[in-house]
Amino acid sequence: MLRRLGLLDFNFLVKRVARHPGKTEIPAGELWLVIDGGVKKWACLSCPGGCGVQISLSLNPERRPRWEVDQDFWQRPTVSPSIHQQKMCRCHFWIRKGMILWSKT
Amino acid sequence: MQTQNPGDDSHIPLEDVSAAIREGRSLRLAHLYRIMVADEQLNERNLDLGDPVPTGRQILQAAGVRPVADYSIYAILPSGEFEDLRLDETYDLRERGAERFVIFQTDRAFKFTIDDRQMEWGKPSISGKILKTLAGVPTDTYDVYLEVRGGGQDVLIRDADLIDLSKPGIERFITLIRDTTEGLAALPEADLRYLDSHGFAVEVVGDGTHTGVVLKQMQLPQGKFNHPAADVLVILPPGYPDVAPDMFFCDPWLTLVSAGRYPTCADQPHAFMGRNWQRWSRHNTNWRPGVDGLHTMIKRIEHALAEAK
Ligand SMILES: [Zn+2]
Repeated sequence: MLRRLGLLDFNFLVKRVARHPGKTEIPAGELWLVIDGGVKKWACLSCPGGCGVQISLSLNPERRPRWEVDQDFWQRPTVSPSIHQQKMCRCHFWIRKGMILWSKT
Repeated sequence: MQTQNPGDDSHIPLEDVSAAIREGRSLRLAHLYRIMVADEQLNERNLDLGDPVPTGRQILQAAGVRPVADYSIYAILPSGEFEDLRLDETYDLRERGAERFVIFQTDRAFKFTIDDRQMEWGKPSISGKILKTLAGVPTDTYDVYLEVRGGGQDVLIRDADLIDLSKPGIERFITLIRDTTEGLAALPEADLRYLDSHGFAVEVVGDGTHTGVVLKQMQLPQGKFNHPAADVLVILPPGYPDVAPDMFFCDPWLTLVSAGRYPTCADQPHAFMGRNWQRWSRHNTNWRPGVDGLHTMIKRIEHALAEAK
């Protein structure tokens, strides 16, 4: 609604889920945050770089690689550090306040 | 089966098969060979065998299970695969690279899902490698995780790790392609906040060794240069932000409108990420680790551009 009114701009919004989606396809524009028992486990999205492969970012602070996801009042995610695909389309991007920032690496 | 000669001095008392595998050497002649045997709960214990080429039956007997015919024994290969040992089949410890065995009664089925496909497994333990094989994914480019419900991180299962399927909560496995890495330049949060709040359009670039931050189309002092705006590159040194970035770089190259030439100390080229940059030699001696960051650097760049002669 806000987006339609031009007040809110985003490429991704957070949707909270309790279980990892497995091979379920994640709709473009959604970042599924897997939180179970209060533990943030995964952030899952379809690759925005064109290949559409499912990306699962580990939020486990004990493992590498690992990411952190915050969200603002409008459920727009900020993911850090950046996300770099090594195989498929090899894209590299940031997600800041729901927006994709492309990096040309 | 081999005959042994206990009086032969060329035999050492005990050869640890796992140590030999770890050290990548072949087994030495010994009076006893130590292997690891796990039960159905995957409790492991050492077992010392007199024969380096035992049969399945010999290992079961040495493990003390009765009656032997009700039990099965599998060798766990270094790859994580299981190899079934028949009771009267010999197994050459000297050749196989396996030092772990698992013993269990076989007439049970264990149910779980991998990638939401139902699976049944006739053994209570399963390795990461077998899970991947069952899921039909390449073992070298995928990871398999055990889902943990209700407040724990999902557990990465390496190829040779063994999971006890008889435990409660062992129900769902997922495989994930190992394809995503953290980007090269994990810019400090303070820098990201600054760039965000000051409306800079930024590109983070890297050539594998150096990481660069490109400030896109930075506005230049009005009327001063031959272009109204330019891309400005800052190269982050290893150790940034505790270590200061040094010079900065512009593309397109800037000349002073008033003098019709390049500014002082800004006439050398620098190639980075396929672009030919104009190097501005402006050194930084007052960097404060933990305080300064891109905001400091951008202030310095703005100052240098304003003062350029
Ligand atoms: Zn992609």
